[in-house]
Amino acid sequence: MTGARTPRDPDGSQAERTSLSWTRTSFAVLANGALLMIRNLHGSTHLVGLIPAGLAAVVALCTYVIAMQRQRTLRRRPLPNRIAARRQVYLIGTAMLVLIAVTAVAQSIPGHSG
Amino acid sequence: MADDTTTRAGEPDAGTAAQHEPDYRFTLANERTFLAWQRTALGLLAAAVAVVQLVQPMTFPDMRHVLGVVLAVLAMLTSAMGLLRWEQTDRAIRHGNPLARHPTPAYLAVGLALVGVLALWLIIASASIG
Repeated sequence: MTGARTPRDPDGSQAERTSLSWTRTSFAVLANGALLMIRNLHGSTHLVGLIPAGLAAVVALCTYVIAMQRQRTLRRRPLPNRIAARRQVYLIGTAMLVLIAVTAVAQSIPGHSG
Repeated sequence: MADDTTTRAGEPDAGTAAQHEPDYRFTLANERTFLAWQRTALGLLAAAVAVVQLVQPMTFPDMRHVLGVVLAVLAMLTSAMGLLRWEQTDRAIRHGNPLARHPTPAYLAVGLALVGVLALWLIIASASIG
């Protein structure tokens, strides 16, 4: 709105903000994984207890790879015509739901071990 | 911002006909909104884990778990709503339809207010007993 008269590539920040948004999301997943690891330091190091944290790490890695892909795609000029990341959105959306469900179940089962 | 319909060389055509590839700015904005919803869900999940794991077991251990469950359910709904809204918005901008107006952020606000009230009650209850 304020920088509407920028001469070159006025919407470049759109692409930049989008790939940064993916990166930020991957870090948010990673932070959740770290939080899930804290409890493992306290007590039981059961293999089952590592599932949510491991899943979070995998989801974070996937999100980061998608962020890199998006960055490469969105840096292209001219931009590709079909730009919607339908597959990625569905993948991460589903992964997030699974991660929340698995975390919730893991939290409620061995609540008295730590 | 959205009124800028001039088509420069090398930029994708905004597409006036229905069912065409929409302006890339709409697509990217929709994508960022989806990611923002997912990050909100992650924040709620982190709060759920923290409340169950890191808060000292209080005189009402059940309440701690109730709070955790409420937060986890809220996280689930937020994440699912983000995906649903991405799909709806994507369809709307592809067909040139107006964006669906949702009360979803209001639901989230109500849920967060509920969590706040629960937490406050927990604090007061544990302070008055312990």
